Amino acid sequence: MVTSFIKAHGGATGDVVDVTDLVKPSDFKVGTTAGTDLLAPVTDGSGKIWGGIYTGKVKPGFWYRQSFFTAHGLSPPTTWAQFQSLLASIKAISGVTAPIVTGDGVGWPISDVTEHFIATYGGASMHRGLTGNRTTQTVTWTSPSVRAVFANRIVPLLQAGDFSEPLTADSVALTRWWNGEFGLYFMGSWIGTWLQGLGLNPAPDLNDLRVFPLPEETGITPGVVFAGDYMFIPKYTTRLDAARQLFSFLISVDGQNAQIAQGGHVATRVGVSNTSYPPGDLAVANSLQGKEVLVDLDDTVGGTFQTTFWSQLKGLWTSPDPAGDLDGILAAIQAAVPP
Amino acid sequence: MGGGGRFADIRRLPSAFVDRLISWVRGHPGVSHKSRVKTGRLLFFVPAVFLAIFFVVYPVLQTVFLGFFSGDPGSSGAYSGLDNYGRVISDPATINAKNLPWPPPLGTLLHNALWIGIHLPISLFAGLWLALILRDVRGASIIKSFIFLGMVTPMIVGGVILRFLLEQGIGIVPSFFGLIGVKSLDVNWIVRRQLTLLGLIFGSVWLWTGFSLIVYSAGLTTIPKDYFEAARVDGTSPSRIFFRIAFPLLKPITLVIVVMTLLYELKIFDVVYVAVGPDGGTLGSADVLALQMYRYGFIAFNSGLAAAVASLLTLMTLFATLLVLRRMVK
Repeated sequence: MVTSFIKAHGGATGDVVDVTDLVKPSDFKVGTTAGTDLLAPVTDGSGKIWGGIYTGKVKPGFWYRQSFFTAHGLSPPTTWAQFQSLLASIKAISGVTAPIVTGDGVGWPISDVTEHFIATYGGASMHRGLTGNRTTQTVTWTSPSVRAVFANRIVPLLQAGDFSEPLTADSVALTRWWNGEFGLYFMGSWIGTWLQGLGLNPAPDLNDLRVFPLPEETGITPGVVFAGDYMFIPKYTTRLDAARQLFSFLISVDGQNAQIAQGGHVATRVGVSNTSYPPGDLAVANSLQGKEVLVDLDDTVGGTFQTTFWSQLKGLWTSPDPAGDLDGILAAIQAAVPP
Repeated sequence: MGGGGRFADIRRLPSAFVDRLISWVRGHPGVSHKSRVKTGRLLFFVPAVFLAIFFVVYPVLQTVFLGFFSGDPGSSGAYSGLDNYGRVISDPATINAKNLPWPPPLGTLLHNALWIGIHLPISLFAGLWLALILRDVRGASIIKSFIFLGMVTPMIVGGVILRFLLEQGIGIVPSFFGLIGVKSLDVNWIVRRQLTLLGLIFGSVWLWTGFSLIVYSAGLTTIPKDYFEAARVDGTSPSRIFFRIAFPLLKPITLVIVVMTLLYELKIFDVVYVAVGPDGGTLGSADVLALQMYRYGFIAFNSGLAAAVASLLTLMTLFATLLVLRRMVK
C-alpha cells in the first residue's frame, strides 16, 4: 500500500521529507466510523507526518443519465426488489442491449462491481475480512456468507441477463452506455473525466450524470471503496520549497475546492464547501454518509490474486451456468489468496 | 593513398596496438601468411565471443541457476532443487487435464501447442499459396505490401486491433457470423473461453502470413521457370507441380519459415497480453507460457518459478528447432 511505502521510506530510511509542520491532522475527516483512518495523514509510531492524502476517488455505485431515467419514467431504487424491478424496466426499453453494461474485458470493472455487492450485502466487515492474505483473512471466499452474496444477489442478475457481456474497451462501454444502449454503469467517481475525454459530439453534459448505490439491507453496515490520492516529498528534490508550497496548497481548503470543482474527486479536508462539487459528485460525496471507508480489495491483496480474481469473475460473467460454476470459481479465488 | 591516410582513424587508438595491427594488415616480414590469417580470425572472433558470453550465455545460465532457488539466491532464496519445475508442471495453469479435450483453459503448455498446431501450418501454407498465385500477377508487389503490413505492425498494436476485431458490436468477426446467421458466434470472442484462444490464433495468422509470403516469394525467384514450363508441357497437374517441384525446391525456405514461426509461437506474449490482459483471459483460456512467466516474475515476484518457465521455454525452443532442422536436412 502507498501508506506503508511512505512510512517505510520516511523515518526508517530517511528518503521522505518530514511534513509534520505542514499538516494538522484534525483538519481531515477522520471520524469514528471504521476505515476513516484511510483519510488521515501518513504517520508512523514517532508521531511525525511523512505524507498526506489530498482528495480521493470513490466507487459509489451505478451511474445513469437523468435524461434517460426521465424519458422512461424510471427512478433510483431504495430496496432490492425495486432494483430488480428497475432492471426489468430498463430491459424492456426498445434499443437497450442490457440493463447494466460490464466494462473492460481485462477484468477490473467486474471486480469493482463485485466488491460493491460484497460491501453492501456482506457489509463492510465482510469486505474487510476478505482483504488480506490467508493469515489475516477473517472470512474466506468459500464461506457460506460470501457464497450467499454471490448466489443470492449476483448470480440471479447474471442468469436474468441483466449484465452485458464484458466489453473489451472502456471507451466502447462508456460510449454505448452514454448513447442509451445500456441503462446503468458501475464505475468510479472519475467517470465524468472519462466522458469528457471521449470526444463525443455533442460534448456530454455532466450535469446529466447521477449515481445510486445498491439498496442497503437492515442490519448490515455497508462500505464504500475509497482510493486516496497520496503525496509525499522525496528528500532528493532540488525544489524543496516549491514542493512544500504545493503540498500545503493541495491539502488546504482552497486547494481541495479547486480540485473537486474539476470533477471526479472527493474532498478529505474538513471545511471544504459542497457548492464546489459538480452535481453528480455532490451525490457521490453525500452517498458516503453512514458508510465505512474501504480499500480496494484486489488492489490491496495484489499479486497473482488480482489477475486470478479478474479471470475467475470473467468466467462467472460469461458462464452459461453461473449457479453451477459458482463454487468452483469461489474455490479458485480462495486458492489464489497469498499465504 | 599513403599509409598515413589509410590508417588516419586507427592512429587514434593506443599506439602499440595500432602498430601491431598495421604491421599485420600490411604483412610484416616476420609474420607468415598462415599466422596472419589465424590472428585475423581471432581478432574478429574474440569480440563476438565476449558479446555472446555476456549477453546470451551468461543470462541463460543465470536463468537456469535461478530456477533451482525458491527466491533470489543473493538474499532470501534457498536452494530448492527441482521444486520450481515440479510446481510449474503440476500447476493447473500449465496443464489443466480436467478440461481436456475442450474447452479452454487447457493450460499454457497445451495452449502453446495449439498455437503451433494451428498457426504454423496455416500461416505457412497461406504464405506459400499467396506467393504462388501472386507470382505472375501484375501489381503483385502492391498486394504483397498490403499483406506484409501485418508483419510491420508492432505486435502490441496487432493485439489491440485483434481485441476490437473480436468484440461483439464493433468487431468484424462476430458481425460476420451474425450476418450469416451463426448466432452462437456473434458474441464477444475476447471474453468467451471457448473462442478467445482460437480468435487470437486465427487473428495472428493475419499478422504473420506476410512473413512467409515474402520469404516464399523470394525463394520462388530462385527456381528457374523452365521447370514449371517443362512440367506443364508434359501435362503435369498443378497439384503435382506444387508437391513434386515447388515444395521440394523450397525446402530450405520452408525450414527458415518453420523455425522462425515456431520461435514466434513459443514466445508469444505481446499479442495475448494486450488482447486479454495479464490474467490470460477468462479463466486463463488464452494463457500462454510467456505470460505465465511474466506473472510469476513481475506480478508474484517469484524469480524461481519465472526462471523455471523460462528454462522450459528455452528447452522446448531448442528441442523443436533441432527436431525441425534434423527432419528438414535429411
